Amino acid sequence: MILIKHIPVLQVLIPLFAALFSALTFNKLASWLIAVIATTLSVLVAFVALYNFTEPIFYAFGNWQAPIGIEYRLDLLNQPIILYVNAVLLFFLIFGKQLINKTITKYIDSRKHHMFYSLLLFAHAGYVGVLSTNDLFNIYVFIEISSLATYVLISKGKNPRALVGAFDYLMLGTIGATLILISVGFFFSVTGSLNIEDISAILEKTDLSDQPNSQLRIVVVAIAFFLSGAILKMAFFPLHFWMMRAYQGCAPFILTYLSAISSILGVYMIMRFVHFVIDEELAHIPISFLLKTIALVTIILCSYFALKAKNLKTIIIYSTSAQIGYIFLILSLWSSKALLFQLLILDSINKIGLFTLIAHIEHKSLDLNITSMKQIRNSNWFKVAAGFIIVFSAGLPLNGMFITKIALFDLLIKQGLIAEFVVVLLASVLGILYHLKFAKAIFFGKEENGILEINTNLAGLFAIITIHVLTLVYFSEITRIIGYYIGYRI
Amino acid sequence: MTAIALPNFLIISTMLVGMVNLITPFFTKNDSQIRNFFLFSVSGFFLINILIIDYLFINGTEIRFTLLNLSKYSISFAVEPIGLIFLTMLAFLWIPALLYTVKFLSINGLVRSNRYLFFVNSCVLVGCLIALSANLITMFIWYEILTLCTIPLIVHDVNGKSINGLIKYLKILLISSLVLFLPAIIIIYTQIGTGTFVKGGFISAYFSDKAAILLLLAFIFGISKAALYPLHSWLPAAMVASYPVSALLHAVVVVKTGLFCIFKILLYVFGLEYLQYLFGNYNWLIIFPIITILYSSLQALRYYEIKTILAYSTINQLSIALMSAFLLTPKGLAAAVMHMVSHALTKICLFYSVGGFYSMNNIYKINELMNMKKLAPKVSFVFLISSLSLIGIPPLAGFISKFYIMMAAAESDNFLVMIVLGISVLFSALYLSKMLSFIYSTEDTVKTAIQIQNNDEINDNGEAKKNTKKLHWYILLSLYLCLTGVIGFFVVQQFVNVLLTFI
Amino acid sequence: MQNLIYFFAILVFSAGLFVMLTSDNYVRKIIGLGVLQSSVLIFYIALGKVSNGIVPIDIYGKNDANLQLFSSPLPHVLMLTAIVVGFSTMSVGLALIYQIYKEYNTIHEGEIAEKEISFHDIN
Repeated sequence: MILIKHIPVLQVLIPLFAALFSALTFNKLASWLIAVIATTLSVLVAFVALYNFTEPIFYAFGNWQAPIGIEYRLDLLNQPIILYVNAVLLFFLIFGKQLINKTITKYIDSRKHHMFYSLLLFAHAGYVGVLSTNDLFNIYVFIEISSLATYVLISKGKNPRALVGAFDYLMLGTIGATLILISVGFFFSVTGSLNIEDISAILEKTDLSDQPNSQLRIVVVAIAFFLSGAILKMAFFPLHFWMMRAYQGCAPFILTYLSAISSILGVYMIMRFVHFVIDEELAHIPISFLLKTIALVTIILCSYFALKAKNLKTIIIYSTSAQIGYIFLILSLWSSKALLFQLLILDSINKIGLFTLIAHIEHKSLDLNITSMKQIRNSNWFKVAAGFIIVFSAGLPLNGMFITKIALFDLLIKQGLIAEFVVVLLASVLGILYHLKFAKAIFFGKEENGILEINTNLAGLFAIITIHVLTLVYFSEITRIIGYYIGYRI
Repeated sequence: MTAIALPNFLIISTMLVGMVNLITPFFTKNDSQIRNFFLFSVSGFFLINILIIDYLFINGTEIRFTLLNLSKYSISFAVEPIGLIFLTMLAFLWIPALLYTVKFLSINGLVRSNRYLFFVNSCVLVGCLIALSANLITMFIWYEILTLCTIPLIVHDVNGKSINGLIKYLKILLISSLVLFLPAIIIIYTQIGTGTFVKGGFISAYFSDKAAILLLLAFIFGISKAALYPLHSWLPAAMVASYPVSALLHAVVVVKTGLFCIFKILLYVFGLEYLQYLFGNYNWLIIFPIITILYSSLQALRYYEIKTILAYSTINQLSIALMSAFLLTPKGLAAAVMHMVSHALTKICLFYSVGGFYSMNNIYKINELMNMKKLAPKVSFVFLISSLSLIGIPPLAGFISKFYIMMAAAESDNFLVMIVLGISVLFSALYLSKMLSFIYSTEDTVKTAIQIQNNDEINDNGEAKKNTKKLHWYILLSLYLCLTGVIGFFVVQQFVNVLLTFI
Repeated sequence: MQNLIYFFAILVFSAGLFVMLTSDNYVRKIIGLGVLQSSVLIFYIALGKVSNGIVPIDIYGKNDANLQLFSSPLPHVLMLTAIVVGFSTMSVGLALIYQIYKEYNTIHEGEIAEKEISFHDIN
């Protein structure tokens, strides 16, 4: 079928056109419907692409072949992630309709409600674009597209502080993107090309024989700029401070979508960069040492901050950063990619669950501070769902997180890394402690602070729990599939 | 059906039937006849099935099956002697527990009884699953789930004290199992590739002596449900729960799970011969339980709240069982298992009878026990017999099991154990007789008791009936059931011995 | 000597970054953003210049005589995109500043922080 040939561009175009259409309908319900239809189509398209996968698909825009033209590449590194990202958006739209109406669009001028969905789709198109492209400059362009939409998405919420947070996010996000742009410029000056495969081919050739020294230095500088830009943009520790401020003010429900995606995107960008642009051997030793140190420090410090935090949202955000630390640790070990993806997916499912929980609470009361949090009463299904989600997120037995944790310990012991093992163990202990704190605030609020009832639609929470259970039941299947894919690619 | 499939099927079907008990509380009204009928019939059926499985096992059938398989780790179940003893004990104690809990809830007006019953039943079932587990990771998973299932029971009555108690309880249990128990398991799995329990142990071939000793210590302290000093403070903290919970869980299911896990690890992971070789020169392992025994005996004398005293007494008895197990001889381990069973029966009687006192008169401290003999003669009688058993007076349960321990200690020429056992008996006699003296108090204290009664009647008109509450016959029936266990322990121990010969 | 332009680009970059990060007024931060992006423009366009190369316009038609050296037009094209991106970022930033002004009646970061603290004290 003709359309299958154009799948790479379809995946970006469907959200883009849907965004335009939903901006043109001046009706909230209609634009939501358009968004849902578009996302369902995207999920189907991504699934078809994955199902019929035989070898990486290259799509040259306007028939200008690489390295002159811009090219998209779909292989087993990004296609599953695209499918997952589409699925997250679908979940967000379907199960979150009531929460979106109550927590986010309530604070927008009622004539402009449809714009919210349109912006969401623009951001989504940008993210899918970052995932599919094979051209360095194109990555920068799509990062900026998605970021612009994201800045606006974050700026609306119950707390007017969201605006200030969004502005901070704009400042620092643009600095990060500019650093990436400078790095692209350096690569362009060394190799004369912008295509990822072309750059890696040229770097391989000239590094060893022709002009060893100066070429090498510029490439190292370029790598440094790219990595710092990526770390700043995705707010990995230690450059995460702006994210704390930005996420504090905004509506928690939008964070379900954003935080789930931004961490996966950050890891994808770094992996794509490290594996495909630069030679692995070149980067292996210094980067792995750097990554390992950052990872260990992140894990311990972020878990500690999560324990000391006073606000529920802050706990989750720090817990997120700690999980990113785990991911960095596994990245620096270079040997077990399947574990990495398991951890990423489970972590983002966890985060979706936790942020949805908080969104339900925040809808009723602005205050998420632990000491002054109101007591939740008479919302029994909410408490059951909250119990399950907290248990799943803490890594207590019989769920995917627990199995992943065991696999991580396994890996560390097998490689004889005792110091890392102790650090991860300590961090797990801290993890249980801050989950206990979280649970205490949700289940046992003090009565003198007031009472609130949760009566919003809880379908989303139960969907998350079902997904957790499914990942557990099909865990071995998923591991086998991911392992097969990773082995295939590398 | 083939001969092997039938026993597997029997276990699975027994478990499923037991799970019906989880659902019935939600579909029936509070304290209705239908609910009680379902609960009792299901647990009775469960007991009969377990007895059939015991019989099959004695006649030589092997039962082993796997539920879930993830590369090295698998959730699988198998039947073996100690597990069967634990399983039978749980199945037998489930019936009086349900009898007591159902009526306790209605007498004391506890709300949300369906949730309460759900979690009580799930704790018992999870305990049965632990008894059946065939490898280390299965045991760990269900061990953790047991902790999770007890949480809603401890804070069933939400107030500041219970929340604090819960947080302390969770911190100690979860952290110790995460930091010590889990890494030890993972180290074994990574090194060896499997953690299945094997008769005679399998560690000796893979680890050096020092590493094996460290692993053993990690297991012993990581399984903090067995309440060794200094990881014992969760037990007094958990006493904020209501009486059925404290009795069934913290005197029977949870702590016996801890003991059971340690026994299983000693027997099937390390193997008694290897342990004897490791600790050949001087058995310094028994120092840990001995410290706990001395510490808890002293603490029990300090307090005045009944539940706290009973909690420390539980810690005491657990460490006696551990001490016997750490003698590292087959006789010592057998005596420890015997003590596990006898203490379960005795403690349940004690806790239930004190719970009966509480239902009648809202008693928290010892001095409120005054003159209970007049108000509740039958319950006081049960209390008397079970405390005599706890002290170790013949021919009751406590004496028989302590006698076995003495014999095992004598056989290995371990005088320290015998002396400490004697000291512990002395101390338990002290604090228990303190309680008994209040119950069976003499005439001149009766007047003060009547004054207290009159004051209550004048003060709360609506609650005047509190003092004259009668206990439902269910409660008495459950007390008598447990009492028969205590008195007729001689019969019980024959049965236990039969199973123990299989080790 | 040929690399002087790159030092200049770094100078402008640092100036823009400094203004962005240290000013109190939001509009000044946006100005700093603009300066930052200009420095990247300078960097790229300087990359494209070939010494002794002429402007990259095709003056030959079909005639191949006297081939000349051209500067590379590619960075110019890339920078057109970057200018558009910078422009839209600045407009989003200004829109946000307008909303902040409507909400807090000031565009000084310090004053907004004080208003936030008092907001939390009251609640």
